[in-house]
Amino acid sequence: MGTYIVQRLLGLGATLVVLSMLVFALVHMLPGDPAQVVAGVGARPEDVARIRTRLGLDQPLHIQYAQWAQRILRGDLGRSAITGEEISAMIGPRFVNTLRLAVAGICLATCVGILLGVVAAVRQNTIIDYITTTLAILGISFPVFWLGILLVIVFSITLRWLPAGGTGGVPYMVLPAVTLAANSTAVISRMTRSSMLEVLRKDFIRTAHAKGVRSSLVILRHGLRNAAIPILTVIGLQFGVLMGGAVLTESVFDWSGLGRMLVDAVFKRDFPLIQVLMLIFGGSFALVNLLVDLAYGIADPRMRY
Amino acid sequence: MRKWKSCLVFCVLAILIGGGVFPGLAEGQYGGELDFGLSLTITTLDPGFATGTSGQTIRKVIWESLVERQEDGTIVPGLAVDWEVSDDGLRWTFYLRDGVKFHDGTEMTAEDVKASLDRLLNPDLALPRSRDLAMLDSVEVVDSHTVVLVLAYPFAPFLAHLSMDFASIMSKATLDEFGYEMEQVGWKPVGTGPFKYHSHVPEESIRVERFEDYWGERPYLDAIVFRSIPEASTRLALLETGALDIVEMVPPFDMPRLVDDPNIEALSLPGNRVAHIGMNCQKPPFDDARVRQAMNYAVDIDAILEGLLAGFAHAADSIVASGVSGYASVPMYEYNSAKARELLAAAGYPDGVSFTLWTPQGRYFMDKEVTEALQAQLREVGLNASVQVIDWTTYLAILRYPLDRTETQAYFLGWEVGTNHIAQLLDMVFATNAWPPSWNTMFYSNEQVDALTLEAKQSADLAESERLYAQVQQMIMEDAPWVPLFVYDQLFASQSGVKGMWAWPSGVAILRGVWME
Repeated sequence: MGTYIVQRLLGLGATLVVLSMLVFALVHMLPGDPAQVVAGVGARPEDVARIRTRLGLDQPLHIQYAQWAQRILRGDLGRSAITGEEISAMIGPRFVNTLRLAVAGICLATCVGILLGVVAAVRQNTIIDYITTTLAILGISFPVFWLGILLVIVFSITLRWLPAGGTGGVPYMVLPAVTLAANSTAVISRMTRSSMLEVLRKDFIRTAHAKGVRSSLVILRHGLRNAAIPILTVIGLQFGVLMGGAVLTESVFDWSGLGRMLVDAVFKRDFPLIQVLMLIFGGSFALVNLLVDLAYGIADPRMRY
Repeated sequence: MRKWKSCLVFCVLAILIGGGVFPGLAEGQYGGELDFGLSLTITTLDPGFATGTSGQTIRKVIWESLVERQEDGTIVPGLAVDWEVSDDGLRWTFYLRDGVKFHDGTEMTAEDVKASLDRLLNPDLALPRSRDLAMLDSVEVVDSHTVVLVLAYPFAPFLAHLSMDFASIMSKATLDEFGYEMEQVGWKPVGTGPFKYHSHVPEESIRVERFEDYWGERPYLDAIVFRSIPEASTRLALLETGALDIVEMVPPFDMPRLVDDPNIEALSLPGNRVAHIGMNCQKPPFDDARVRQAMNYAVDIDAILEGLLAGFAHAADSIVASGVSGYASVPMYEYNSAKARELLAAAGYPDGVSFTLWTPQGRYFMDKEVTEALQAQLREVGLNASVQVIDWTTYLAILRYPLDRTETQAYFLGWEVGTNHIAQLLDMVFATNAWPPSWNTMFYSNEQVDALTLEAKQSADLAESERLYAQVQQMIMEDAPWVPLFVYDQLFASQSGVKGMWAWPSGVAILRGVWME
């Protein structure tokens, strides 16, 4: 298992290198650069040119990339091209916030999603199944933005139960986590349902029932555990999505996370910050997938490395 | 006995009248922390860089300038108590205030003024806003409290420029100790203002606290926290739930709801940002003035004001708003679709003409929506626009492609005048020497306009310069490189207990005198 992990980590490193090159190239193809953003509206072309030189943007692209790569390998994340602040200081707290919200969201989505999916599978084609299916469709269809604002109007402005926005402890996390989880819950519940349906048809399930094993035990120990692989995959993917794609939720709830920072950085062409954030997102996603692969081993002993 | 009674009556009357004659005395309550909701993230506090009017709002409580500007544009003493101009208009002598302390404890002298202004003009630092003090040639220290600013050419609106935040007076001691670059000045601001910088969370919030040794009137508030919340609905939600005390940039459609809310005070203040359509005067179809004028006639601005802006903007009748120094009303183009068609036909487009109309989204209120409404109006007379929505950074970049690269035909934009003086706009946007990559994105050129603008800027005679500026506006409106649309009102909203805020028409909120009940 140790070798396997090391191999996977090396692969992750290679992926990140390719990712950083791709992102670097793409972002430089957009019109505009941080010098123009920093110089601002009304700046003279000479000033823009001088800022460009100070930021090192007038050097050939491959030189710029090489310089950046050298710095990163030394552990120096660099400074934001727009604010001049140390990137490591800027992202630390925000990374924790994004992680917190993603974990809260995925826990919520997993619990509710698996519950709904199992219930729908066991009670297939009954009214419960139809209700959960409808909820799932709504969850996938609701625009995140709209749902978030709706929750704020109901729970913050009208009922005054929860804060309307901001970053903080549990009260501040409730609404954004629910908003984030809506989509993932739907996806997880659908996958749970279809995977469970497949497993529940199997012979060994009928054997278990025939042996007189308690129904709930059959469903959970024999059913769910065998249905787990695809569900775990989906949970892993959804966690990756929540880590990187929470930008809409973060905007609506004024949640200080990395998603919003990345979108802002792209709009402002903050090249150094974009590169670092993409490494973080890419790395998190790959790590999560590694954990999911290892988790398969828990669910299915045949898949242990 | 009688004498006593009448004496008493007299005293009571005096107190009552005195209280009425001097309102404002003992009005405000001391104490409290104000949470201000900004619409932009602040990338740096360094006054050499443009970070929108939101950044200026913060800078104006931390730093001060030699002179200050009131709501109606009058210039009043700031860190300078008096000033003189030489006969040739080139040497401006300022007499500095005594006993002014910086946040770092040092006392302000002429050396600090010199260091601050020299810094702005230092070519090695490449500070973009140095352009707005381009007329300043050098700064001479006469003695500890006298300084002479020498101009390169006469410039009548000089004081308006000096009142801006880019001319903030910084502490030379701190600059020498920590550095002159943006990285240091931006987050180690040391000024003379009523509030001093305390801390910030990058891209999120900035905290300032009351400066104990402020030379002027003690501010009421203990601290102000500026929070960046670009999402308008979130900003409002936080105001309505009490998490914020004041917000800027309220969407017009939310105003009626806020006006009805007893806990919220909705403030509509005069703005000076003129929303307009700019047209490329060097490329077809807008290289023909008749087509540009047709655009002006084809627009029904009242329909747009009613339908899209909920009455919180008013029609523009010049290239600047009515509060701006030098403004002259030049109402030329009433909505007249027949006239528009006539002009188009005369220009050789009897069957209409097609072109692209660019717009940003979310940069200005209803920018995309207004552009789409205009598209419908223009189409009725044969001006067939295809609207393209472009993200802001790209927008600014492509508008400033030089003539050989430009793809600009028509675009939606809004210009405000930071110094509240028309000269700033004329120099930046309408001058022949300001073609892209600078900001004359219409590629407009009229040498007479250039000449008259120069004359007006150098004239010390106020009436004469007003006359010249009026002429310039007349000529520009005739040439029609723009279709001026409307002037945005500035919409703020606060908790009803927040008092004492006002704003410059350019959008800078002045918070030094605010108190909370």
